[in-house]
Amino acid sequence: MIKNKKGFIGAIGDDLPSLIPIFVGLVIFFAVFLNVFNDYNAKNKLFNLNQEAVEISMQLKSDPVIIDYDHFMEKCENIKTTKKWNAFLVDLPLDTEQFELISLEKITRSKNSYEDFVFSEIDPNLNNYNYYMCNDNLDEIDIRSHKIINFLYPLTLQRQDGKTSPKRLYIIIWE
Amino acid sequence: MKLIELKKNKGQAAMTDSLFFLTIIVALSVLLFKFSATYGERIDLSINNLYFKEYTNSTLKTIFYTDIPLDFGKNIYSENTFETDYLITALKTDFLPDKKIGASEDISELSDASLPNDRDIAKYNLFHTIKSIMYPLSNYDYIFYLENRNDDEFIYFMLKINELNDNQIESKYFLCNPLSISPVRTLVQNANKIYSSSTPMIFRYTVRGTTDNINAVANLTIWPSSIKINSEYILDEENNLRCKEYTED
Repeated sequence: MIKNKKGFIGAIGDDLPSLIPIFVGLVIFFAVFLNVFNDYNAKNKLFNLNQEAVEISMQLKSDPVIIDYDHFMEKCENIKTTKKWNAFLVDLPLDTEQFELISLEKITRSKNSYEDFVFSEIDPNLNNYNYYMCNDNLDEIDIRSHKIINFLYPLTLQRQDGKTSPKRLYIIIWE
Repeated sequence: MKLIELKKNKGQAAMTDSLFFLTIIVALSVLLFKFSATYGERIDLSINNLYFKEYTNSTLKTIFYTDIPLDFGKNIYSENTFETDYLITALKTDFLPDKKIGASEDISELSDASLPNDRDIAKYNLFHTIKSIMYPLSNYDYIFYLENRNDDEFIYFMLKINELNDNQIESKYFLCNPLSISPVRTLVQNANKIYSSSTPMIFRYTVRGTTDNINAVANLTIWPSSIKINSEYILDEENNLRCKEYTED
């Protein structure tokens, strides 16, 4: 009987070197799996937001002309979604030199900053300004978040004087 | 003797197994990464397509439902005008007596804005309304046309491109008079992606006291600005686009 006990540690000790690649493999697998899982979830959330934004825009643009403030607000109230969202109208001047770009930074700059860019008309009965904006929650947007969808469409609005003019419809949805 | 050799190599089988295991894990991880990188590409593309399709649809509606002044002046920015109507109404009214929009037979002609009471008011308003409504989408080129489907001829054809000059992007606007749709197809083939919307329309016209209809189509096609489509290409006579550039504001 030949006894070879050189280097013998024990039942596990003999297989210890082989445990290292197994351990490394498991670490790699779970790290990649976790990364892919998070990425998959983030993408799905973004697609859901996009889908909601498309549905909101379809409802808001269903009529070729928004005839007045009440018509616009009625459309806003008919939108049912669990997501945080807002939609508002901004002037689209026919004179391109007067065109002003509205960035997300500007939209979220301060609580009442919307008064500078959201289209408004004086309410003849109440003598105050009606802002064409669905919700009053622009200050809740976190500009650093990657989960913000911003859609822009042209739209026609009939003003109080009866004339129709082009406007920009912004739809913002975020998480 | 062989038994001794084997006893010296003990543990190597387990090592080989674990290395195989590691190889399989690495391959699996590569596959997972590949899945992650490509996941949603198609959904993203279809959302993008849907968005721009909706954008062009909305633009067409907005163009035709925008009011223009009917006081025979070209100051379309004036807020003091009393008589206004939808642009589409003005275009149809213009088309009725002579089966064309504007005064000239050449649809790429647009008279000077300083001339009052001329026959190009509806055409002038159409040109500037499209220009301003498409202005927010500044990184995109586009064509807008009205086509008479009965006679296979264009009633109106407008083209806008962006051109890079001295590190500055310059927007250029053209009115064209292509004899057929084929040069237009050749033009848009140079773009990477195109998004397009069309709407059918009916125009009425009068000839020697009798009125008839023509079936027309309004089309707006947009694409991300491409260096392949530049003014040199557009103004090249071999293209048969027969364009003229309009630089007035």
